[in-house]
Amino acid sequence: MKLKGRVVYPGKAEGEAVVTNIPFSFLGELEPATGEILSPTHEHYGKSLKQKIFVCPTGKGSSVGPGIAYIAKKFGSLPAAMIVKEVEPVLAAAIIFAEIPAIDNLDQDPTEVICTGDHVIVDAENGIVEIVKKNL
Amino acid sequence: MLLTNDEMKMLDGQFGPGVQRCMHMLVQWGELFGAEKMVDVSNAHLSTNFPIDAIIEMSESANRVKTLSTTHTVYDPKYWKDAHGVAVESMAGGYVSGDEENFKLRMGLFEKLGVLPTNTCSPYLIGIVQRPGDVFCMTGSSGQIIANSVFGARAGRESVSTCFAAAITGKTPQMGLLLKENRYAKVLFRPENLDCRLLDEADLGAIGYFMGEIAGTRNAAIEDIPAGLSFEKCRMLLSPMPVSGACVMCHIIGMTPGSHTEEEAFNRKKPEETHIISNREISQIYQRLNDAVSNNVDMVVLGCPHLSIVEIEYIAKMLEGKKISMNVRVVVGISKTMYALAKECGFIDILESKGVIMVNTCVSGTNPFLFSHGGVGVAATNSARAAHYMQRMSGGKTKTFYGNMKKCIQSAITGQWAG
Repeated sequence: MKLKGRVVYPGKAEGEAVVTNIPFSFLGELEPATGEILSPTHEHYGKSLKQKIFVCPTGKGSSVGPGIAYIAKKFGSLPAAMIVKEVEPVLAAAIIFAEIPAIDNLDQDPTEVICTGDHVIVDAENGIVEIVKKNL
Repeated sequence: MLLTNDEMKMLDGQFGPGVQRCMHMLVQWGELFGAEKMVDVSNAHLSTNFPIDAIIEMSESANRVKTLSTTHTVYDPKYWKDAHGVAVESMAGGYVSGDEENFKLRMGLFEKLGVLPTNTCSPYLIGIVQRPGDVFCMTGSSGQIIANSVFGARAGRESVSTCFAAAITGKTPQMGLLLKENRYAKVLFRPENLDCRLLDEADLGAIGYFMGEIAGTRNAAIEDIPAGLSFEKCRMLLSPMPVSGACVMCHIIGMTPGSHTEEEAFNRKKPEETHIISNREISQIYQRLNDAVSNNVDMVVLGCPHLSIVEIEYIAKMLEGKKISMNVRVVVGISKTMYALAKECGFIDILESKGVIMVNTCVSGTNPFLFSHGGVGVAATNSARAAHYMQRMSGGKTKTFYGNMKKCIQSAITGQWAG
């Protein structure tokens, strides 16, 4: 399946999807040294986002978010790419600052059509997401 | 986005790679949110914990900041180690470094760039003034909502990287709350069976906490707030809204510039929603911000946001002739500038003789005491914002009592929550 969207930050990547329905904040939810999800109440608590294709609805929370994303980049523990239903200013600033290939505003809700474990190819030069279902 | 000649030169790299990187980031950011042009920034307020590598990259070949630039609260590891025996490796998920050398280098870089070391979350208290319409790129959400709602300045949903880029370029994309059409209120809050003149700052903080949660990212408005409400009480009403929700614009009808009436606040449109605030809503918030079980208080936290001279005088007067309990540590957030004024007034001598700890560090979510020597069991505070952050940033380890300043200080004296 292919989706078309808007480029938030250009680049290309592919990998295994980690999908959440919870708006994401780099501060408090990502451990920058390992890329693991920090928040005990999060559905992916303890899972690493490192080199994954991270799919989330939008951003939330602290203005420190881009700072955490930047530190995670230095550790090499960022997601390889992000697919967002719709970015908000702080999440967008983090993606731009840490130079994470990212796409939003797709023709379908990515948190619904992509499942954790799917193999996803992100072309954030042209705004195209290709999904290879894990069970096919 | 339409750029001026000067902005184009910045983007082309004619002012060096740092300015270019900053302008490039701001253009990308602005285009995502439909900004049509850049505007001049009157003040950029910066995070002192911004990573060193990022400061160097983003200021390469830029000799000086291009607008009045000031700094947020500081965690000075050497001061904390020497004065309080506190050493933390890092705070805020690794963002706040506990490395002494790193801190010195960072502050040196800011100084070289001409950034004023205000080191406070409340720069407006120490002569950094916003006029109506001024564009303010503020790190720290309490300052954002106060700038928008009290001073009528324009502060958007900024972050540490966009504020730094604004300092280096003097520009920010015109979007969000910088545009008049996005500043009107959407959600109305109406106090019912409440005499707002009799509410103390903690009652108002509970109201603000309630409002922020419901408003979310939408602009709020509140009516029936008495015109003479003190600036201090205003701050306590507003400052929880961006932490329980993400609201950084609240029209206090009759007080916020341009919002003399409900019609003006809502641009003559109907509110999307109207919510009643009664004693019931206030007491529900009190319950949530009072999650401590034992009555013993280990720490009293005042100064979130950093204290005004009126508040520091009140604390000094209340403690005069009294003694703080052996078991309680009183931690007060205050800028060095305000400290100097309070010293002139004789308040500091009283407070220091009682053992009150006064710091220009953030005393809520990144209060170093929460993260050293096993942390803090129970903290009492008059700040809804501080109670919220202490509960969460300590990972639930610190329980809180929430009530007005008088109760907090009484608890400091007796060692028992006075609630």
